[in-house]
Amino acid sequence: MSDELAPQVSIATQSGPRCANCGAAMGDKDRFCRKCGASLGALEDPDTTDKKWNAVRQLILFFIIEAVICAFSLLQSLHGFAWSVFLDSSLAVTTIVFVTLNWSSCKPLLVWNNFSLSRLALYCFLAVVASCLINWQATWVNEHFFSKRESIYAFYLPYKHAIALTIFFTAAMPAIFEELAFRVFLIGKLLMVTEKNQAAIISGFMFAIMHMSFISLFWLLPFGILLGYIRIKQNTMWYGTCIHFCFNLTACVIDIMYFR
Amino acid sequence: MEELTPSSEATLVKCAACKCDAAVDDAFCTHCGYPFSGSKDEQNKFLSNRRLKKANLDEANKKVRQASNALFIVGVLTAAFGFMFYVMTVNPESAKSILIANLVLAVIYAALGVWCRVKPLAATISALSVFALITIINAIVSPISIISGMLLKVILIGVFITGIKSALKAEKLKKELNV
Repeated sequence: MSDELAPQVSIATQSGPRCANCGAAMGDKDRFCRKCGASLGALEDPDTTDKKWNAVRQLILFFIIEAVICAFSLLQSLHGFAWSVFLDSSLAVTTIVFVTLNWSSCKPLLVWNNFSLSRLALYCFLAVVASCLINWQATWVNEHFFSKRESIYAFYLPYKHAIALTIFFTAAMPAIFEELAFRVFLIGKLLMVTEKNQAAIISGFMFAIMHMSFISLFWLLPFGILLGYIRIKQNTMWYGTCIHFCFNLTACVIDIMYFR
Repeated sequence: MEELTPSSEATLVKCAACKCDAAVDDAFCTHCGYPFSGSKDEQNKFLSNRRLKKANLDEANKKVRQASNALFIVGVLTAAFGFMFYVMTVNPESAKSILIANLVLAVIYAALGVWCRVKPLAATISALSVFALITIINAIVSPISIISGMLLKVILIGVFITGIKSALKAEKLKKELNV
């Protein structure tokens, strides 16, 4: 009996956190070692502060470039299929450049971690439902307050494979590149600077305002924050991409069906 | 029992720097690193260092406050501009939508101003983003508007950037001082 007890007592005294500097035993909540005074993570080293400011600078720069490209799309003189493709491609290229320059922190998100078919199915189903509701609401508001019907499909109609074009440019491209831009790159930088909740909120906010539509802000903001949470929680970009794709695809399908 | 109570009282001392409880045989305070066993010189140096950090924290908080107030001011200005435009413009259709747009924007600025008091880093980053976006849109859609209020825009951008830097500094100092 005493032989069984003795090893447990010595393990108990040897376990527990120890100061990396002098090896003294320390409590869980100690910020400085009681014996040698070494900082146990309380002091932020100057490298980290520099890194944080650099991360902020990079994400602001990225946001500004994307904002400039999106602002150009507002110009009346830059209307038409060619300009639309050019601007969309510029956004995509910018995103790819920034992701490539931060490849080591972005790469892990490109793997589909935590894959679960049931979860994916649920997310996509909810995305389709939400899209129907929001689309119905937007159409109602457009007709009652602005007395106009807008159709994205009509924009692509003059060209061959109009349906495929609509789906590619309105559902597929935004899904991939907006997720890469706002969830992979932006949240990656934000997590270096602040905690998870704030990172999701800030990236959701930037995502919402980038669409430059005051009316849609009320659903763009929660949508962006939700996608941010999912990316952070599941540690992958693909759930968000599928949700975003289903959401936009539903809007496309409704648009095309209505138009025909 | 009687032996335990006086000895448990005697084992605790108050740290001169952070006023937290510490065991009497500790060489350093586990909360702030104050050198109990150091020389008078070392202790004074630690205390003045701590005072300096507190002064820096106060200054950082002041700059964050400035950013928060700037957001409220910009909100009021945006709303005022919206009303002014609504009253002065000829076209009633566009006037209504511009008024609503400016009012929504004013609410966003005000909300960011409030958020800045709670989560300064998140709010200042968001504030800079939305202000930059609005300025960029105005600059590209009507380039002449770049000049109008340019001084104010430059000042505001400076205030927001300083706000972000100060928020980062304040977070770091708060962690170091354990406040």
